[in-house]
Amino acid sequence: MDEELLLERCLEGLETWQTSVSACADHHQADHPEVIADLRLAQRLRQVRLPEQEVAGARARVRLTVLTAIEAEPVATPVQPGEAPLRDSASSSVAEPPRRRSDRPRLRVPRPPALLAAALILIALLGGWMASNAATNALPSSPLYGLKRVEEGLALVTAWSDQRRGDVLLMMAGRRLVEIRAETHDGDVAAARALAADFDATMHHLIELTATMQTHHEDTHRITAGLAHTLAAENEAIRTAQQSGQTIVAQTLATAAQSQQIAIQANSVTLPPVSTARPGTGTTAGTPSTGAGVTPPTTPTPTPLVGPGVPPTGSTGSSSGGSGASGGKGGPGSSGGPGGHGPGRGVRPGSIGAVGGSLAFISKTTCGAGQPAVSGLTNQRQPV
Amino acid sequence: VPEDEPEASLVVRATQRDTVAFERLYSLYFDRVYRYVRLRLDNPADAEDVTATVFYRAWSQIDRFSPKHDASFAVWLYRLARNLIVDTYRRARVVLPLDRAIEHDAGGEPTGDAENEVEWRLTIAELRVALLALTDEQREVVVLRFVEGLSARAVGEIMGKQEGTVRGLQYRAIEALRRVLAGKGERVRDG
Repeated sequence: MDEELLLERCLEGLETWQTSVSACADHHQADHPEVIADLRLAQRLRQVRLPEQEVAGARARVRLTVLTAIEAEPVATPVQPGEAPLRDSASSSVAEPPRRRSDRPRLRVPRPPALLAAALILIALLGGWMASNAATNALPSSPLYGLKRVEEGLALVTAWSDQRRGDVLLMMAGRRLVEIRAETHDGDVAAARALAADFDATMHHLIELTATMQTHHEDTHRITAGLAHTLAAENEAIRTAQQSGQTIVAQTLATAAQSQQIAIQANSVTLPPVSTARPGTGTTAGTPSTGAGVTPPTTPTPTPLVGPGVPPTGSTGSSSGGSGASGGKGGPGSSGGPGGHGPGRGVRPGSIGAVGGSLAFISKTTCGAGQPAVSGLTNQRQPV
Repeated sequence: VPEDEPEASLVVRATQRDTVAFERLYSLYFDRVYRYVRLRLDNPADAEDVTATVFYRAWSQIDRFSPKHDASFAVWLYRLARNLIVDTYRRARVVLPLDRAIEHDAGGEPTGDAENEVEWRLTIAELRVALLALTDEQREVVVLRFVEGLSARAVGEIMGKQEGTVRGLQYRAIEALRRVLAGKGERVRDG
């Protein structure tokens, strides 16, 4: 018998409980040992299970996301008499079948007060989005800086996985470095030193998180790459501060960098191997020479970091945490949903916003450079 | 919603924007859809995003589901998921190198009879690594046909292929997977 057909017969027999693997093996092991091995493998594949803890967590989080989206969606058509309203599910058990299109009443033209209210809401949303956007590049002296920090705190609090938390921390560290460089350039040493302390705290948080993730055998490739990259950017900032005569800032950063190195070693965090310069930013590899008694620690030169986790170190004032290679900055129009993401929150490919667009407005904060690490797929979409 | 309410009734009520009925459908199908997506995407967070989008689209487009034309609600959901995964691949344009995948997914010990080349408990991580060695279509068939346990006909509906084509594909896929796993087994035993 053809092996392809034999496999199918045995599979069908298993699915309909008419046979068993051992029964198939008794009949065909001698002639078709490979088919029996295939069958045994197929049986094992049916027993493959995801870790229950992961599934339970995902189930709860996805449920919340979907329900939030459903609640947030605008009601496109007026509720019909006899038709269950979205929120009133109790009465929907006796809902009538969907009505014919011709039975539905026409949409009424909104009255002027409704139009006015809609316009005010739109203006408020637009204003909020613009303020949030402007805050992305704000420095501590800016009145919008508080908004920027609140957004970061919110992103950190709402990060639902270590991976996301790492992305947010990388984004925060990158922003602090950009701010330090800007303040150093402006000669505000006090502000730069305060930011350096913030940066150091964020880096320690990130190192501890990475260590925890490694302990839990989570995927830390992206985080460690970003960490290595940020350390290199820190060295670059030390060198820049030194070159511009801001030795106090340089020393503060160098001290911070040394404590980070100690933390990395103490936590046994493994960073990616030293490679060449980061493309496109001008950041050079290796340990920069700082002179004047400032000795930055040796840090691995990063592998190129894809995405917005760390802002370009050579472009002070650039949109830190903004869109990277992974996707465009979220915002109205970019994802199809109202509201959009705040500044610096890229919509990752694979995220709800990137995939479908429909859920972008409630999608979880995605500050990181998440790219779904996937293998290629050439298959075509199927009509739904 | 009664626990034993038939799926068809739940779908009808979800079409009428009944969130409770839809939640029941969610409870029924989340695990299957998530497992399917999770096996196709490397990152759990990506899998959650895609799964959330699947169910939101299911809610938004449920009036497009037709019991007459679609094999089942489950098949319709899988097709939604598959299309979103295809979109994700297209947007990401990232290929996870096999050696890297093996590096961070390596694990699992052979526990059974050395005579049988796949005689150890197959973990999800091992399976995901092994799947990377297969073609896209083979990977798709392995997950849908063998892990999810769908019929060849249902798999054909999801992939847009004839049932006979799926059968041929499944044979080549399981053979390829067995060879990959056998190679891994030898490596593990040698080590």
